[in-house]
Amino acid sequence: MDAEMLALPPAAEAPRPRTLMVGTVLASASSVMFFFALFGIYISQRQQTRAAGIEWFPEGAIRLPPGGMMMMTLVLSAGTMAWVQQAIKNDDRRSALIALAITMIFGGSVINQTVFYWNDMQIGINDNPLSDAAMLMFTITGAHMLMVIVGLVFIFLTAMRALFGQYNSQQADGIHAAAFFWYSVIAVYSVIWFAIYITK
Amino acid sequence: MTTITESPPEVAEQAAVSHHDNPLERGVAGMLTTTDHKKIGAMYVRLSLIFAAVIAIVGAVAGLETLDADSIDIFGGATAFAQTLSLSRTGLAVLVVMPLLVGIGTAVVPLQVGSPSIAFPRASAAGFWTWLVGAGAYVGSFIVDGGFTSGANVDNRAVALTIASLGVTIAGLLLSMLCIATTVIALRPAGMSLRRVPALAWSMLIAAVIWMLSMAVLIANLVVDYVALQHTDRDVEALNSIAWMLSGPQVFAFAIPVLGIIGDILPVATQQKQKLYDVLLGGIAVFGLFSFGGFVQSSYDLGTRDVTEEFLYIVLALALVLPMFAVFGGFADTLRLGRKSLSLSTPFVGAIAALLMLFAGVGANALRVLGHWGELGDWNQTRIMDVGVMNYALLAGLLAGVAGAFFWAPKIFGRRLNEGIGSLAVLALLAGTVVLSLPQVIAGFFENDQDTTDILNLIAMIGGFIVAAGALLALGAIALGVLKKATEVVPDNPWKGYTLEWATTSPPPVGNFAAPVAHVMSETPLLDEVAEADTEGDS
Repeated sequence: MDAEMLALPPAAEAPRPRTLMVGTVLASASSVMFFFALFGIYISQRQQTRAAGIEWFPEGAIRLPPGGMMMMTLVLSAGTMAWVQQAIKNDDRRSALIALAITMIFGGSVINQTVFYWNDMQIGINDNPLSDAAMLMFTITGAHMLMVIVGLVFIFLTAMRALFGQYNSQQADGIHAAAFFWYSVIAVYSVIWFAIYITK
Repeated sequence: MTTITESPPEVAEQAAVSHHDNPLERGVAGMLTTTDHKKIGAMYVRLSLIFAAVIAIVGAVAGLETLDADSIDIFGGATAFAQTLSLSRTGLAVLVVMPLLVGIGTAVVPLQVGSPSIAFPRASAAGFWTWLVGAGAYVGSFIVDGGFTSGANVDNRAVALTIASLGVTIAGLLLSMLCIATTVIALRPAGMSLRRVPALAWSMLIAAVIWMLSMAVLIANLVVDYVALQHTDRDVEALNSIAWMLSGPQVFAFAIPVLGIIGDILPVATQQKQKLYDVLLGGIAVFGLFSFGGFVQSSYDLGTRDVTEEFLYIVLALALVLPMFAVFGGFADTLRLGRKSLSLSTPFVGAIAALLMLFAGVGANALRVLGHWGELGDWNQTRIMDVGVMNYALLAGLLAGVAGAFFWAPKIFGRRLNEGIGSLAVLALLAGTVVLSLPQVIAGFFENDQDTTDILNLIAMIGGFIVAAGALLALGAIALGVLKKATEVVPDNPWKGYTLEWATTSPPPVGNFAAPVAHVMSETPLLDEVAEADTEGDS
C-alpha cells in the first residue's frame, strides 16, 4: 500500500438505521391514541351523566394542589430530559448521566405523588353506582402511572447504556427515543391535569 | 449502474448474533427461541390457518342454530349460542385474518426491503408468543363459559378472562406490526424511497399505522370494561364496546394488506409492470385512512344520536369506494395489458378472488350505510347486513392470505406448495365467501320477511361449511408441502418476480442475502437488472 493511499481519510461510516427512534414514535403514537380513547369515553360519559342531572364527582372530592404539583414535577423533568439531549449532543456524558438520574428521580416522585393523590381523594372506585367518574378517573390515572413506569424503565436502560459508553454526539438514537417517549408521558398528563383534575 | 451499499450495521449484527450455528436453532427449542422473522412468519401462517378451519366450522355449526333458534339448541342455551357466535366473529378477525397477514408481512417484508433481518427481532418473536398465549386464553375463556356479557347467569371471572385475553391477543399482533412498520421505514436499502417499496411492504406499513391507532382505541374500551367488571358492581356488555371493530369502516382496515398482496401478485402473474405505481400506493394509503373506525363506537354516543347516523361516518364509509375504484382500475389495466402472458396459478386466482370479494364488501358497505339516511330504506336496522359486510372483508383477507402464502412459499417455507390443492382451496374459499356473505347482505333488505330470511340463512350456513373446507384444503396444502421430503431444488425466483425477495435463495440464508443489496433504482429492481444486462449485452 503506498503512502498516498494511507494518507486518505477513513471511509465514511454507513448511516445507522434509526430503528429505535422509529419504533418509539410508533409506540408513543399508539399509547397517546389509547389515552385519547379513554378521554373520549370520559368526556362523553360525563356529558351524559350531567345531562341526566346526576352528579359526576362529589363536590370537593378532588383537591387541585397535588395535581398541580405533579404537573410541575413533570415540566421540570422535561427540562432535565432536554438537558440530557443537549449534553449528549456536546459529548458531555457526565452531564447526561446526571440529568438522566434527576429525570428518574422526578419520575419516581410522580409515582409517589399519584399514589398520594389517590389516597387524598374522598372517593372510592365503586362509591357511586350512578356515575362512572371515579371508575374512569382511576382507570385513566392508573394507565398513566403504568406509562410513567414504562418510561422510567426506558430511561434506566438508556442510562445504563450511556454509562457503558454507547452514546455520543454521533450516535444518540436511544437517548432521543427515550426523550420522545418521556415527552409523550408529559403530554398525556397535561391532558389528564386539565380534563380530569381541573375541569373534572 | 449498480452500486453496492453496506448493510445497516446494527441489523447485520443482530442477524449474525441471532442466527449463528446454535443447537437451540433446531427442533422445538429452535421454534421457541427463534428470532428469525421467516420462522416467526411461518408459525403465524400455519396457526392462523388452523384457527381458520376451527373458527369456520364453529361459525357454520352456529349458523345451524340460527335456522330455527326456537327448536334447535346445539350449544345448550341462548347464552352459550351468543357466546359461540361472538367467538366465531371476533375469532375470524383476531385469530385468523390479522395473524395470517401479519405472518406473511413478518416473513416477507424484510426480504422485500432488502434487510438482513426484521427490526427488533426479539420483539417480533415476543409479539407472536403474546398473540398465541392470548389466543389460547381467548378460546379457553369461551370454553369455561366466558363471553362479552357479564351477569348473574354467567361466570364473571370467565368474562374478565375473555376481555383481558382479547386485549393481550391484539397487543401481540400490534407488537409484531410495529416491527414490520419499523423495518419498512428504517431498514430500506440505498435508493429505495417509500415510493419504491413493494406493494405488500407499503400496505403493511399503512396497515400497521391504522391498526396501531385504531386498535389502541379498542384496547382502551377493553380496559374500561375490565376495570368496571373487576372493581365495580356494574354489569358489562363488552360486545357493545367492540362491535365497531367488526363493522364498516374498521373491518376494512384488516383488509389493507389485501391490496398489497394483490399489487405484488398481479404484475408478476401477468409479467406486466404495474402502471401508475404511485396511484396504487396512494390508493392503498387513502383506503387505509378511510377505514379508520376508532370513532365509531357506542362509548362516544352523546345520548342524543347514534354515531353511525353522523354525517362524517356516512361520508367516510361512502368515500371508501373511491380508492377501491382507483386501485381496481389499475389492476384491471395490468390484467388487460398482460392477458397474453397470464398464468392461472393459485396465487393469481386467489388474488383475483380476494379483489372481487373486497370490492363486493366495499359496495355492500356503501349500501348498508345509505340505509342510515332513513328516506332510502330501513335495511340497516338488521345486524345481518353488517355481518355480511364483515364476512366479505375478512374472507377477502383470508383469500389474499392464502394466495400470499402460496406465492411466497419458497421464501416462507422453502418449498413450493401443491398447485392442485391450492387452486381447490382458493376456489372453495371464493365460493364459500359468496355463498356465506351475499345472502347475509341480501337478508338486510328482507328484515320483516321471515320465510325469505330463513332461506337466506340456510344458504349462508352452507357457505360457512364451504369456507371451512377451503381453509382445511389450504392448511392441508401447506402441511403436505412442509412435511414432504425435500427432493426438488426450489428455484430462487420461480414466478419471475421483480422485487428483492426474489433475488435471494429459496429458502433465504442466514442474514437473508448472501451479498449486500444493490442500489435500488425503481420499484421493480430485478426488472432493472434484466434491462441493464440487456443494455450491456447490446453494447
